Parts: sequence; structure tokens; C-alpha cells
Amino acid sequence: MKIDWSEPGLPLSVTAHAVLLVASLVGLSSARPFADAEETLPVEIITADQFSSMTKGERTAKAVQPTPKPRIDKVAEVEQLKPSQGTDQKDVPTPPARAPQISDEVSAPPMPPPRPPDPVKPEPKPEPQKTVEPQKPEPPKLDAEIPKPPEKPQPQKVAKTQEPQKETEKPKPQPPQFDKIAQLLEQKKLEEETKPAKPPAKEKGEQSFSASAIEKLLVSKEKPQASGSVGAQLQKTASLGLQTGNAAKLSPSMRDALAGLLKDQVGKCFTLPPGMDETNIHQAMVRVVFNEDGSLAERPQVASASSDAGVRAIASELRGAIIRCAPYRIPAQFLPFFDQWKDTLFTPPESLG
Amino acid sequence: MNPADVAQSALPAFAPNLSIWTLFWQAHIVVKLVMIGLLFASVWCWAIILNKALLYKRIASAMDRFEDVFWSGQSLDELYRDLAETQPTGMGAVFLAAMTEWKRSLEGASKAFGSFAARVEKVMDVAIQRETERLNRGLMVLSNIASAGPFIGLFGTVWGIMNSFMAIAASKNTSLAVVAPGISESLFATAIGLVAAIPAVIAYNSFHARVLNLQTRLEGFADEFSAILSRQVDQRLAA
Repeated sequence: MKIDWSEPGLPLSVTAHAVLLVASLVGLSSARPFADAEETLPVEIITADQFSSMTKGERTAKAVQPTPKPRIDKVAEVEQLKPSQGTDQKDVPTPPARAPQISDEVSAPPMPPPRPPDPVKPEPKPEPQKTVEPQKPEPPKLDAEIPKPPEKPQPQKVAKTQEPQKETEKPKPQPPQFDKIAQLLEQKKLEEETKPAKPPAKEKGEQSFSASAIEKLLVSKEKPQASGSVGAQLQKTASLGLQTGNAAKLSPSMRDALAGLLKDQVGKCFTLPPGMDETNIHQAMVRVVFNEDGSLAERPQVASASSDAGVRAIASELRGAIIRCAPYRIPAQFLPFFDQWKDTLFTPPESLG
Repeated sequence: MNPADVAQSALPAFAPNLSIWTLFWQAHIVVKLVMIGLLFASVWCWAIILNKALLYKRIASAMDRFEDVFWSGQSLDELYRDLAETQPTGMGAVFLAAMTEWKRSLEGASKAFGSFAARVEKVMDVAIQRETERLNRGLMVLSNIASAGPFIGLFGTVWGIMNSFMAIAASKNTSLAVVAPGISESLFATAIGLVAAIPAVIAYNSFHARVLNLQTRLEGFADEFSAILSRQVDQRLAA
């Protein structure tokens, strides 16, 4: 084919396209694949509050429970004293061996000081003390078997040894006239402490030799430091959770209703100190921690930071009123939300202000 | 054999080779036809562009040369004799048409000068129209490719995507790895359409302007030459 040079468009165009096609086949043959993107893990940050009110359940659970409750590993000995649930076991006062009267005292912090005289009295007669002392190590074993694994005894031993030490330290200053006897007693106590500390393990092995118990101990892989969650009732079975994924929350209207109820009840005991300036009355605030039955879990504390003497007077008057009026009647409908009203700030009831 | 090894050795076979060639071969027949048609359109469009660009350049330089000669004072009869032997274009053709008419008017026993000016104008108009038609030839194709190319490509794309969605519906697998090749190959049709249309649009617009430019030059020359000829006629009539 002869090329007409006056009109070279067609052959030129064809060759140019052919060259471009070939170049695209060779040079631009394929798109470079994307670099492999690494899988990302979604991370959610939740507050401690959200965590404690979570009822989403655990993956290892076998069935959905009709009334799911958060997992509780151990019955709380002093109920809801501390806002945080995950307190270390070592911190929890463990008086399971004591007689019921003593455990009553434990809940009231100011009481302990008068107690030391009790151990002092029996001092002249060392015999009853001996009988008292050996009793201590025994009950804890029984208790210890219920909740826990093999590691358990160790912390308990530590707790045991610490407690008697406290008791022995306290008596020291009080009876100086009984110095020698006290020294002897201390020596004896120390001896006893070291002795009974070991036997429990042996005794335990002898007493409760059952395959199931050992299996139970073996299965548990919890570390000795694990605090476990503490609550009112034991809840060992994991739950698959609720559909909503969160515990119920106090609605604003219910919150108002509860606040009104409490104010009404406090109002019966509260009178404004005479001659008080009422303008700053709302600055007076008292922090109250409740038990589930409406009684006070601890002494109310003045929470207002005002330096005004009037405000302080009103706040302390309010605190007295709150203590006088306890326990409070709280309708059952608010019980599921106990977490949200157990710690409440009180202001003076307006109607009486 | 380790299952992980099996998975790894199987992977390359599944990974699609996304070269332009495979994109073309895997496409549906309609999409293929669209692609081939657009490729031919592109070839044609560039052929026209090259030809026209050369043509306009030649004609413009020929006009320049003719005007130089025409205004140099050379005898018009000599110029006529030189040009009559060749096949002139542009201004040369217009000049030739007018001179032919001039000669014929002089040839007869009775000189037909009565409506000479009108006749010369007509003859030159026809020559200009013929030249303009020659300049304009092919520009229609450019304009068509420019306007229709993207639509044809889009048609191929829509057809290809429609087809790949049908395939997805049939295979019930919606992972991106399955969807992507079909969409990619159908988008290729639009790409070719745009590749063909964009040069066509640009070339059409610039060529159109150049044709108008050349046409005005021709008309201007025709007016000047008819003025010269009618002056000659008037002088001869007066003499």
C-alpha cells in the first residue's frame, strides 16, 4: 500500500494507536495491588460505671438466664461500703471466725478501740485464751472451702497472722503492769500463730478429701491476687446477658420522684436553725451513702465546700436531720437502680427552708 | 500438606490478571463491540485531525504565496496561464474561476459586459463554496465522535455493570473481589470513549475557527478581485 503523503492521517493514526496499545500492554499492564491492610481491632473505651452496669453476659456461658445478674464471686462482708467493686481481698476485713457480736461491730468503724480490753481481761487466765485461739483457725477453713481454689489459703493465712499481730500490738500500752505476762502471752501467741498456720492445710486435706472438691480446686485458674467481684448474693453462673446490653437506668422522672421522697422524709426531722440567712441555703450539701434497705451505710458527710459559717451550720443541721430520720423508706421500684442512688447528695428541703 | 500452604498456592490462580488485554477479553460481547467501535472511532478521528491540520497549513501558506504573487504587479494574464496548468486550491481557484469568466466575456463577437460584475461575483462565490466544502469535509465526523463517544462508552459501561450485577445475583457472592473485575472492565469502555472524544472536541473547535478564518480571507480576496475586474470593464466600456 502506497502512502499518500498529502493525506498521511490514516496510516499515521493507525500506527500511533497500535504503538500506544502495545505500550499499554507492556508498560501499564496491570494495576499494582493495594498493600495488604492489616486487620484492625475495634477498641471501645467505657467508663467504670458502664462496666459495672453491664449485663451483656459472657461468651463462655451455656445458657441465657431468665433473670441475669452480674457475676458475683464472693459475698460481700460489709455490704456496699465502698463504691468500687473490685477491692483486693487483702483489704477486706475478714472476721468470719468471730462470734456474731463482733461482726456487728465491724460495720461501725469507731467501735473497735474499746475492744482491746476484752483480750486483756482473760490475760490472767491463759487457759481460756488458748481455747479461744485454736478456734480461730478452724472456722476459716470451713469458710474458705466454700468460695475457693487452692491459692486461697495463702492470703487467708496472711490475713490471720496480721490480725492477731494487731491485737497484740494494741494491748501493749494499756496494761503496763502486766508487762511480763503480756510478754509471755505474746510469745505464746506467736508460737501458736506459727503452729496453726501450717496445720490447717493438712487438716483440710484430711477432712475434705473428695474428688469433686479437688477437681474444683484444679479447674479454677484464678490468680491469688484476683479480687473477684463482690456483691450481695453469690452468682457463679455466667449469663448470656440481656437483649439491651446495659443494666436498667434510673429515668429522670424516677430520679426526681426518689429525690422528692427522700426530701419529704428528711423534712420531718429538719428545722432551719433560727436566724439563718436563707439566701445561701442551697450551698449546704450532705453526702449520704445508703444501704439497699434505706439505712445509712456510713455517717453522712458535709459535702459543701463553702466557708460561710451559716452554710456550714445549715449543713451540719441537715446532717443531724438525716441521721435522725434514718432509715428511709424507699419503694421497691427503685431497688433495681440501687447503684445509682446509693450515693446521694442532699440539699436542705426547700419547703422548710 | 499444610492447609496454609494450600491456601497460599491457590491464591495466585484466583488473583485476576487485570491487564488491559484481559479486561478486553473478559468483557461481554456488547461491551467488546463498543470498545472496538470506539477504538476505530479514535483511529479515524486522529486520521482526520492529522489530515486536516496538514491541509489547513498547506492552504494557508498557499494563500500567502498567492497574495505575494498577485500583489507583486505581475501581469494577471501571465498568472492565469501559470495557474491554469496546475490544479490550484484556495485563492488560486477563486482567481482562476474569475479569470475564466473574464476571458469568456471577452471572447465572443459581441462583448458581454452588461452584467459582468454580477456574473463574476457568482462564479467566485461558487468557487469559495467549493473550497469551503473541501475544508469542512470530515469535521462532521469529528463533531459526531466528540458528542457521541462518551455516550457510547457509557452505554458499554452500563451494559457491563448490568451484566456483572446479574452475575453477582446468580452467584450470590457479593465480595468486592468478585464485583471488581466486571466493573473495572465495563468502566474501561467509558475510558476509551473519553479517549476518543476529548481530542475530537478540541480539534473540532479549533478547526472550525480556522475554516471560518480561511473563508473570510477567501471572501475578502474575492471582493477585492471583483472590484479590480469591474474597474477594468468600466475602463474598457468608457474607452
